[in-house]
This record gives sequence, C-alpha cells and structure tokens, in this order.
Amino acid sequence: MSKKVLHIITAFLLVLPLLVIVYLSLVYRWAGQNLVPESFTFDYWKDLFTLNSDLGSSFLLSLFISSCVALFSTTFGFLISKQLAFENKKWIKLAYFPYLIAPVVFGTMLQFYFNRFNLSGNIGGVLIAQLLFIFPYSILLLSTFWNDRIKQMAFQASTLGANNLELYRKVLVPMAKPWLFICFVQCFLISWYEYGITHLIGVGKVKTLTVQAMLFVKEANPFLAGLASCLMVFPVIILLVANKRIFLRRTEFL
Amino acid sequence: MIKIEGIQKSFGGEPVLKDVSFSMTESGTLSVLGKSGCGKTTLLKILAGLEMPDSGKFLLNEQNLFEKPAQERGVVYLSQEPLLFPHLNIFENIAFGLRIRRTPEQEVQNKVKALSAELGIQDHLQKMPTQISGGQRQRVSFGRALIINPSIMLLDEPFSSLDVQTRDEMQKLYKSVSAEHKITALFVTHDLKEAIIMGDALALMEKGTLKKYGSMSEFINDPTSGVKEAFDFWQDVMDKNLADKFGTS
Repeated sequence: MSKKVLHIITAFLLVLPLLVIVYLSLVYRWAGQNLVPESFTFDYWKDLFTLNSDLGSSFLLSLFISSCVALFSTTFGFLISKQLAFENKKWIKLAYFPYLIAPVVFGTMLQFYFNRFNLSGNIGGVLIAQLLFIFPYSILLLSTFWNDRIKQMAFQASTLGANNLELYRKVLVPMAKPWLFICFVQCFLISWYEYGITHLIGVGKVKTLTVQAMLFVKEANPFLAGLASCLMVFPVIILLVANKRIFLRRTEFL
Repeated sequence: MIKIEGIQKSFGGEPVLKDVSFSMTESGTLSVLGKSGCGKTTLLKILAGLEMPDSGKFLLNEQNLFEKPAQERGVVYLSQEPLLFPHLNIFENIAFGLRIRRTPEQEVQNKVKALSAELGIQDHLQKMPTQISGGQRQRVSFGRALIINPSIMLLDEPFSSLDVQTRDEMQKLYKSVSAEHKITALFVTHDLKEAIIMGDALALMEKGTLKKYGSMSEFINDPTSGVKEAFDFWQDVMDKNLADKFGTS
C-alpha cells in the first residue's frame, strides 16, 4: 500500500510542473498580491492558430530545425558510424570533442567563423551550428550498434548476393530500427531544447521556441512563457512515450 | 575445376597465408584440418570476398573470382554461428538469397518448402530465429546458403558450437544433402574425426601453408596430420582398459 502511495506522490511531483504551465497558459489576469488569478482565458491558445502568431511560427520553425537536424544526424550518423566502427575506430573519440566544453562556449567559438561566412542570424547558420553540436552525438550513439556480430551478418548477406543498397535496405536498417528511432528522438530533443548555440548564432533573429520562451520570461510575461513551455513539452511527451514503446520492444538478440 | 593459386596475406607485416595453392574438383568436399590461428578462417574469408589477398588467384572455370565483389562470386561463407537475420522469420531467412535475386513468389514458396522439408525444419517456417534450437538454426543457415545453388560453399567449423549428438546429426545431414545437391565445399575444422567424416579429400593447414593429400592413406601416414597420435592415444586407452578388466600388464 505504501508503495502505491509513493508511486502516486512521485507521479504527482512529475506531473505538477506540467499542470503549472498549463494553468499559467490559461490565466488572463493575475495581480501580484492575489493568491489566485482574477480570470482565465483560452485566447492565448486561440491566437496560436492565427497567421500572425509569433509563437505559432516559432513552433513551426523549431519543428523544422529539429526535424532536419534529427533526420540528417540519424541518416549520416548511421552511415559514418559504420565506417568509423569497422574501419577507423579511434576516430570515434573525436566525436566527444563538442561535449568537453559548454554549449555556449562552443557557440562562442563558432560565432567568429559564422560571422565571417555570413551564417549568423539566419536559419541555415543555426542548422549548421546545431548539427556541429548534435551530429557527433548521433555518431557516439549509433556506433554502439556496430559490433562484430552485425559485421558478420553483413558479410553473410554479401556472400548471399546482397549489394550495398540491399544490404542496408534488407538487413542493416531493419536490424537497426530501434537504434535509429532512439537516435532520431534524442537528436530531435537536443535540438528542440537547444538555446545557447541557437541564441548566439541566430543573434535573436532566429526565434525558435526556446528563444521565444526565454524572451517571454525576460519580459516577465509568465502566461505566454507558460504557453510556450506547453508547446515545448507536449510534442516531447509524445515522442518519449513512442520512444519508450520502441525501446521496450528492442530486439533481444543483438 | 577450382584452382587456388599462390594466395598470400599478411596482417601488420605478419604473414598469415604463405603461398596457398591447391585445386579441387566440383561436387566434392575438401576438408581442411588445422589448429586455431593457422590461417584457415582468413583463407575462407579471402575466398568469400570478405578480405582482400595480398596476391594470388581464385580460378573457377578459368575465371578469376578475386576480380568480382563478394556478392557476385556465388561463394557462400558459413561461419561457426548460424547468424540468422533476427528480424526475419525462418521462411524469409531461407528465402533471403532468392528475394535478392527477385525470384518469382511461387518459385520462392516451392523452393523454400521443398528444401525445408529436406532439412527437417518444415514445421518451423513461421517462427523467429530465437524460437528454434541451435541445431535447427544451423539447418536454416545451411538451407539459406543451399537455396541459391552456390558455386562453392565455405564452411568454417559450422558444427563446433553444437552438442555431440546434434553435431553427429548435422554431419550425417550434411553428407546426405551435399551428395544429393552435388555441393562443392571447403569444410574447415580443427577436429580430426570430423575432417575425415566430412571430406571427400583432405588437406592440412599449418602456419599459413596448406598441404593437400592425394589419398586417405597419404593423410594417415603423414606424421604431421595427427592421425597417428590420435590412433596411439585410443590404442593406449584400449590397452589400459583391457589391462584393468583382465588384470594383465
């Protein structure tokens, strides 16, 4: 019984911050001295779906950037990690480099070059900067897939007549599906929540959801910050639930 | 006729294969006996196209197969472990090579069913690889190779991970199926008894060199083949057993 109570308390503590941001996103007016808000509204949520909504465009922009970064990192991470794991294993260590320093410091280091190549303050620059930070992560994650058993299976498929394309299509990708999905989700999440590098390279012009949320926080507008946080959190919850399902189904034989 | 001419291979300056040359007739099994680390797996991987030789030729009907990539050689390599594709069921594992070759569906169905019946795995076709035993997995692996009618099968100690009884069954099965399908194979093993049972011809591999024997008697009489030691060992065991039983010395 006490275990059940503990579970309920833990679940409540986990859900509480989510409830708070949903609550804040529905508050219309809340004077500082009052214990409870004076009124509630759905207007912020309704505004999201209007054409000139800043938050709506930030949401779509973040979705675009994170999807591109995750797709690129997963696809090329898979191909390159194979080469590195089987041919040049020691080079994998290089992928740790971006994580030896803080993202903001990393961004500052990049900023000089991005300014010189006119990549500051535009989406292309932010995409490249995020990739430089996230792509090595996909290499590190996916290199754990390539073991000797996989190598032997690939050899087996080749001797049975599979060319390179068929090898990927019929053997390697189906076997790596759980890894690929996890990698995609993780890269998406890192990009989705990325603030430091995006803020530095985007110089405030590329308003992703995190940049926009921070803007509302700085403006002391907790209601719109709450709404931005809701937008940030809910897609992530959906991805995490899907991720967990795939992860639990992860094949036992590898 | 299959000819292997002057294969050499070194890893980091250390020679692993030294001028390996031999020939073998089609529709027969050449057993290659050798201890661990003598270079027999490297030889098979080179023939399969999984490693590149430093020099040498692999001639099948006067065509050098080293000039072709692994997938075009028609040489199938079977390792110690069955290595079935874990995302495919048994039927699809066996059918893999046919699917690659875009064989018509009806032909795939017929061939897989006929071969699986021959190998005694017809009741397991819809199961996944984790749902069958080690011996059955080895049968599936064998069937997957056999179904594409390869020019040569390279068997790298395929039964060494099986228990004694299953191993005997697999040896018998291999003998009957290889005779039925006229398989050309190179069977590598470190087990003297298995080499003798499985091979139509015998070869010994030692420190990167391969010596093929013209006859069984030549193999038995070669002091390096290990037959004499094995014979002496069992003779000694028998003598001791008799001495213990009848109390004589």
